[in-house]
Amino acid sequence: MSNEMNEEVDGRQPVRQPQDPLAAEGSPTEPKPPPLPNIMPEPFSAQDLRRAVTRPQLLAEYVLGSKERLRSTLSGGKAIWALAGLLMAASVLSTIPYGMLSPVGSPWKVAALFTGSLLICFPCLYMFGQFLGLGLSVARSLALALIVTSTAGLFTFAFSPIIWFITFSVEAVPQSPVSPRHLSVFLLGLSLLLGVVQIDRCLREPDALSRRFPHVLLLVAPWLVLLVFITYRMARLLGVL
Amino acid sequence: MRRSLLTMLLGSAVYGFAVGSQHSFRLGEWNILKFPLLLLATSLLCTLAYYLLAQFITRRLSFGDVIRLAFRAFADTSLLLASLSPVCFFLARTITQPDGEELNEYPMFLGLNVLFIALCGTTAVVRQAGRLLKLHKLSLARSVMIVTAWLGVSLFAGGQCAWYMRPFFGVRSINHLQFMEQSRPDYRGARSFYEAVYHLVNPPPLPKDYRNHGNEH
Repeated sequence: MSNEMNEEVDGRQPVRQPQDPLAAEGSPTEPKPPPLPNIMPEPFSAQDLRRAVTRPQLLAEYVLGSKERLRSTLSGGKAIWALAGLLMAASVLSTIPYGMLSPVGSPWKVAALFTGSLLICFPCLYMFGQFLGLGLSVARSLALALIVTSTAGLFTFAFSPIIWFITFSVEAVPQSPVSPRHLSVFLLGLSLLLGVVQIDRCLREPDALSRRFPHVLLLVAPWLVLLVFITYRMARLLGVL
Repeated sequence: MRRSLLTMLLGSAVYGFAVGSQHSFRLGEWNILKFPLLLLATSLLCTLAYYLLAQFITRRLSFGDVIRLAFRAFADTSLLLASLSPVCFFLARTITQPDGEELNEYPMFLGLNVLFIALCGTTAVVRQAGRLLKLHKLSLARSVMIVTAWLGVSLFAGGQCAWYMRPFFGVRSINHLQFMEQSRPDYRGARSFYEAVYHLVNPPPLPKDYRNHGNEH
């Protein structure tokens, strides 16, 4: 367990996991340093997730700032459907202000762009996971995939005042090389990129999730390429590009 | 927080007056309003992005911490710029002003102010990273990542704010200045900060009447 991870764990009671028996193996003549304590953050409980419904400001903390707890919930948490539901709500609802205030001009188009593309790509993530023997359930696969769209959605929410100001202050001229529409595409692309970075950060740490699903990154990496491609196609279809 | 806000408003007003007086005292007076408005608008537009970017990098900063830190950084920049105001005012009143033929020392004045703003902004950012290191016990890498992300967002939104509120200084022979040029095209035809940056990289041909720009009112 990296120090960084321990440093980021919030004030909750850590759950100690049994030590890996393989860690004790080795040459009897060479004394090995004692293994680091394996502290795993507590997964999100249904109560935690319900609290985020009544206090939406917790969403940012859960989705962006608690990757250890997200990992922990994905690897063995019980409230996995609740987490998937919350991430789905964050993915859809947080994009509404951006859709309304940007040149996209429709409250549902950004949700359709991110979450719609994800729903198109989701069945193959799940089925390939089953074929490759990763053992991710539907709920876990969905919650994992929704990390991308919920992070992207939250960032579009954060960028909505900026894109509103750009739309308000920049005259949209058809022949302009940098129009509000181009800048909106840039901000949407940046949001999606941050979503991809967030899922990568969630999967890269060597912890319970990677032990339970050791090759999940090998499945998710090409799936992300597919997701980005479908999102691009969806953007063209919706007239966002 | 209130102190930071007050420092930001006062410091930027003093600096704004100093640079604006290069054109005329009237522009200097307008800048007393426009510079604080520029910083205030930029900080308000970026607050949500600052918070979510901070959450993305570390969860040690609450929304209140982020607001306080952001306003402090703006206040530091304003205070540093205010300290350079006597220099700016002296230069503003003594440079050889542009005439009908040449821009004379006006480009030097512009360049120096860009340098001053960059210098003050960088110093404030370095101090901010130090605060994150000491007060919030963040690692150096995370502190640098946070301030870099905040700087990027501030430039992205603040650049367009500044463009919309321009002019902050100008050529004296242009008499009919507007309080804010808003989205009116510049002499190269750029209608936004982003387009102006694009034109820096890929300059279009100058229009034939570019010398008359600003005098057509």
